[in-house]
Amino acid sequence: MDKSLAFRMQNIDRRILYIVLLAIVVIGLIFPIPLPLAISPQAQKFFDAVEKAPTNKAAIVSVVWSASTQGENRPQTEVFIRHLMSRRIRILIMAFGGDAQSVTLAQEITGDLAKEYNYEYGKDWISLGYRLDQTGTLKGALLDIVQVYKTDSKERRPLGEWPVMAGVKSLKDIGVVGEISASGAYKNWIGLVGSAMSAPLCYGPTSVMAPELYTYLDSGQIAGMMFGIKGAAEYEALLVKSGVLKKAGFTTRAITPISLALVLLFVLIGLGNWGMYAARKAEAKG
Amino acid sequence: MDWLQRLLSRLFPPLHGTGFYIAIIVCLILFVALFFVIQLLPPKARKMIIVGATFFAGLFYAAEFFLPASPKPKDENFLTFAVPTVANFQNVLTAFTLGLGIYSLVRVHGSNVLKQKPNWENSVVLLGGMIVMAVAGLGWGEKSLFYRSLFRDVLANFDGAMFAILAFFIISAAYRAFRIRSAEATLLMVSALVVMLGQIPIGQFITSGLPENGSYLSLLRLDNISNWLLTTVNAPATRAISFGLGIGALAIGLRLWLSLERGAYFEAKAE
Repeated sequence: MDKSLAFRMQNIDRRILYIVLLAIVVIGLIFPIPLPLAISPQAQKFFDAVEKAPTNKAAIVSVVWSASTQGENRPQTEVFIRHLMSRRIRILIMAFGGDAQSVTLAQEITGDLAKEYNYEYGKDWISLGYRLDQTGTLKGALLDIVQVYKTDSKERRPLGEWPVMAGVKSLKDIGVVGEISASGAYKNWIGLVGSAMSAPLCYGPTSVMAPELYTYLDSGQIAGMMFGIKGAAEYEALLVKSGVLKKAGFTTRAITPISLALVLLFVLIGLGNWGMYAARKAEAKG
Repeated sequence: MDWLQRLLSRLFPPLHGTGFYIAIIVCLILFVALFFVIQLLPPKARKMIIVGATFFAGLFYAAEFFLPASPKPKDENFLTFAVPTVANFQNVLTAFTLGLGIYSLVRVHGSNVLKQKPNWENSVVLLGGMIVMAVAGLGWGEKSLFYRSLFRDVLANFDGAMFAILAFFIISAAYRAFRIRSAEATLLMVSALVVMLGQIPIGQFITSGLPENGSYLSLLRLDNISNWLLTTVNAPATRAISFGLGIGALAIGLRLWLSLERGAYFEAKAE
């Protein structure tokens, strides 16, 4: 075995790795590979929870993400809101987290989809706004949403005046809750209000966060989950299957570069390890 | 205890318009005055005030949770009516931490610029960005083109790009660091490989010939193995960690609530 080749395999210049990764991502986006996507049980449960949500009750879309994780959280938010709108369920948007961007981003997504589904602000959907402190807000909203939020965040009009709030006094009057998040905020929902609400709580975390949530899926405290952008792609596939969407969109397309990047990662780890063993073998032989 | 609710509503009626802003200004003046009064007190008395305030603030939620509630459907005790108000109070208090953050940023980076410390140019960009964004939001408003361009076209893209760069670092770091040198590392490597392959269509495609369910062969599908690893192996481990974290958080919470933490505010001066 050529010792220098083994050594080179362990020390590929990082600039080469960056260029290969960039090329793979770009090529993957331009030429998506049509591969079958298996629907995970967690995504199916999320979809089913929204599908079973009563249409006479409002849904809460809680957003706890900023532009930094929009690669995963934006498609998750989009497919969830699209599904709610296709069922004509009223939407209340809540925003939390350390970054106030969440409310603007969620309003932007909902506003765009609202045009497609003919959703009217104040009648079919409303933005309750951003709150820095999620624990206090949720505890308060469990008793009285209007008293905690007082006004909507777009028009700054008293919340009780909007038709969308008809029949919604507290979190107990909600039909389904979905939180799209890049943080561990699910603990506040589960710990503070989950047991008092009748609505199922669904979760859309980033991929790195998702493994933490399986324990709550097991216990039934979380009804369903979208595992990062892959979960969003599965949800999109379910929307296509149920006829809500005519064809899969960018979310499904984005799975190809992610797949290719992971394959590159496996290949590189394999090369590095092969190089290490080859070098050791060559050294042992002298 | 409806009388308490009625009394408080009478003492503090909801304010609107000019009255609301006057109340905010009066409150600010009162709190600044209170701050200076506390500064004039001896350290021990100051500590007692802080310990008392911390205890009573924490007591509210504990008492509201543990005190027996009236039978359902009301399901409330005499403190429950105040929860939304306390929630608003909590939000206002938490919002003050943003102010502290801004103060801290301006102090640190302002000092960098004034003293022309190494890389002070970055501090100028940070302070400039902060001021321009604040002016755009407060001066022009959320709906203006100026604010929307800065937010959507600049900040959101910069933020997204910064996070996306992580992929390059992860590829490079995983390639260099993931060496199989022990049995544990092999186990970790194999399970990571299976979980990741099970999450992507290319990985799922490898075993797509096997039945999805209803047969023992379906257990060999990569997506099913990946799901099994996540739900049967990963979940109990995460649960155990969560139990430990929960108990730790309870202990820390109690220590903070009862001001038993060492290095509490003014403790050094008081002793």
